[in-house]
Amino acid sequence: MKRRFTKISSVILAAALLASAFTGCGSQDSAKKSNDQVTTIRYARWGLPEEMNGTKKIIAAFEESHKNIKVTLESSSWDQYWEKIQTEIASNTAPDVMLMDGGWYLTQFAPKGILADIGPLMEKDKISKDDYFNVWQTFTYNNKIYSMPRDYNSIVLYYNKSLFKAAGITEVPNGNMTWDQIVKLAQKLTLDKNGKNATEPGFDPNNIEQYGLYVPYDNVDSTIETLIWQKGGRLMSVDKNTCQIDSPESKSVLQFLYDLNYKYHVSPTYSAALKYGEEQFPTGKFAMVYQGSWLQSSLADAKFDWDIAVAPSFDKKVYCTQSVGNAILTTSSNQEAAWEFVKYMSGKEGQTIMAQSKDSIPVLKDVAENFYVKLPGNPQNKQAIFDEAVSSVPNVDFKQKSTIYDAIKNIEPLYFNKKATLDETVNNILAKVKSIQNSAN
Amino acid sequence: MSKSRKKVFMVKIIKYVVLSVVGIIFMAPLIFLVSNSFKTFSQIIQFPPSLIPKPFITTNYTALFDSTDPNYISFPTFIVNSLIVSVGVVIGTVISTVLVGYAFARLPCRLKNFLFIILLSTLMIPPSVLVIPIFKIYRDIHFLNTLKALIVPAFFGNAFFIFFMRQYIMGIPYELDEAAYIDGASRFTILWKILLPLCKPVIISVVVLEFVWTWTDFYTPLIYLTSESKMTLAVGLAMFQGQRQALLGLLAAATVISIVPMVVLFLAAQKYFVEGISFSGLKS
Repeated sequence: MKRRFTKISSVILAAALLASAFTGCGSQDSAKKSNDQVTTIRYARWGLPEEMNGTKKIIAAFEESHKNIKVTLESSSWDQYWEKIQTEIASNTAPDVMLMDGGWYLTQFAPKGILADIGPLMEKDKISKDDYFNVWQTFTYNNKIYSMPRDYNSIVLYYNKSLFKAAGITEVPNGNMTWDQIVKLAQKLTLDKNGKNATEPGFDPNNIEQYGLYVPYDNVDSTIETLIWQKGGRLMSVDKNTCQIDSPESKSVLQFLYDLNYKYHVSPTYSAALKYGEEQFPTGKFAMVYQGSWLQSSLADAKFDWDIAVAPSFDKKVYCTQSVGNAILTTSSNQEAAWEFVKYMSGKEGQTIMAQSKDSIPVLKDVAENFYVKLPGNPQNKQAIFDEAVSSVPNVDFKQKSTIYDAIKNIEPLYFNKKATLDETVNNILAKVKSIQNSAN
Repeated sequence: MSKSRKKVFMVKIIKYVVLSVVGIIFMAPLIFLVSNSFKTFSQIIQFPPSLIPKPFITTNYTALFDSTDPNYISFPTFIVNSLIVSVGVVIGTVISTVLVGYAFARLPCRLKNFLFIILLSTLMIPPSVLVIPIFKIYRDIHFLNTLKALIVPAFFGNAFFIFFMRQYIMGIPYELDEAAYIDGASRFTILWKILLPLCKPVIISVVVLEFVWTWTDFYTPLIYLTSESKMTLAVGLAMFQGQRQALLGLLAAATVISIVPMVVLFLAAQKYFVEGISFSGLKS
């Protein structure tokens, strides 16, 4: 009995020794930190290597001009980012500054009081909202601003100049065209395997080799919602409580997307389009594609000439623009240093470095209009990206937004794949949205 | 006689045809991966896809190691980190599971079965439930964002492999232990001199499985590591996957490099591995 006791106690002793060894080296680390004069802040962001390297350049320049602040970059890929941030917040190890996709994630963070209100900070430093493109709604919750915009994106019309040239068409898309005009152009640019275009007799819609136009059916916010706004309708009511996919405006948009495939034969079917992912345009088999300005990086080694134009419209010129911002966490013990860094990234120096490294598009008007648009290389018409900022669908997060939009995205193929009529599909979506909203309340 | 030989021959042919077809089906993704790693981005996204890279480029590989490339991630650092973690975890797992597995298989103890059931029941706990408590513990002992967070737990056992080890050791005749005991060997000598040599297949299986699992583990490094200089390969690879697009060429090249160590290890240990898994090494 006694012997067993000594055995057990020796094990416990050994464990205690081990534990103290680990805590020992830990406390040394933190002691080192507090002795230093330099403040270190942690900045978490998602992004591709190119964007990370761009951000590293901004950090290097920032540290150069702010000798007392060091920035540690914590990078994740998009898929991992949100889960990771939430774990860190739950365990009080959140970074000081985080990248925020306000249009989709703000309501998961802002109501919990973990993001700092930057309105007063902007006022103190005399930063005007008007210096930036109008993306502020994306970062506003209950009249408080929770992020400083960092970059800017808009959905534009990409067109393949080489295909236009080959078809002998001199009229290229310009920002004033309507969707109907674009469809007419697209018909001339849709070719079957015998080289006939969609306006010619004998055109074979079952063997199309080159498509005239692609408008992503499955992008609920940038395609469906934006086009409904262009018709004068809304996808969600003003109070965000009702889905209005059954309004005449909404239905005519779905009908239009359906017709692109089955009536005009200028677009691939829903399932045929999916095999390209988001990369239809870079294949060179599409004359025109309605896609985000982020597509540019996929076109770096394109073998054809291309440019962009302001997106076509229906009755109203309303466009889809997006922005991502930097938020300061209230848990940070370095609020001032964090704000300095956030301010720098959105300021003239930070925005210029970002525009130079070409990983993102600046949101500060000064840099966008006087520097970015003059950069060499495709697209030539960079101004089109910013022209859309004049009138855009507010990209605002609300309760259950991503679940509702995903439901629409998952149900609409019924109609586009001819499995259900338009009315059946729309009613199906409405029922699903209702059940999502009910389960949330 | 010749008729039956003919029949055997025919059966053999059918077997080979079926095996080849299935083999090709299983190899196809791998072949495509290798071919994609030598393609340009515009050829990768081409539809229908083609197998032969044209033009044949190696920049996907060189960009991984060229720190001036705009798409550079610290790939060499990721490889080193992954190696440190995987080797560390394998050593820890082997040491701890051999000792504990031996104890469960051989040592007399009143609560042994009860303890063993508790051990096995830990397998039923979904790992995601433990994330936040473990995270908090690691935070308090300053393990976060260090490779220690991945390596140290391996030295404290692994329920699955302990079970694996115990079953194997129980299959070894107890008479061997007794004989050594009579000759004056201690428990430890029995383990070291008698059982370990017989356990070679199962230890190698543990090494291979644990190495592959650690090498490809995505979740643990994702949660506990934050800075790029500490990242492992599995998480590093995901950096080529963006919110809207992926750098497919670089991703393919990096993936090809990342599977090399696993393939080499598997080939080297194949003979023992199969034996260890099928428990055919038991001689009783």
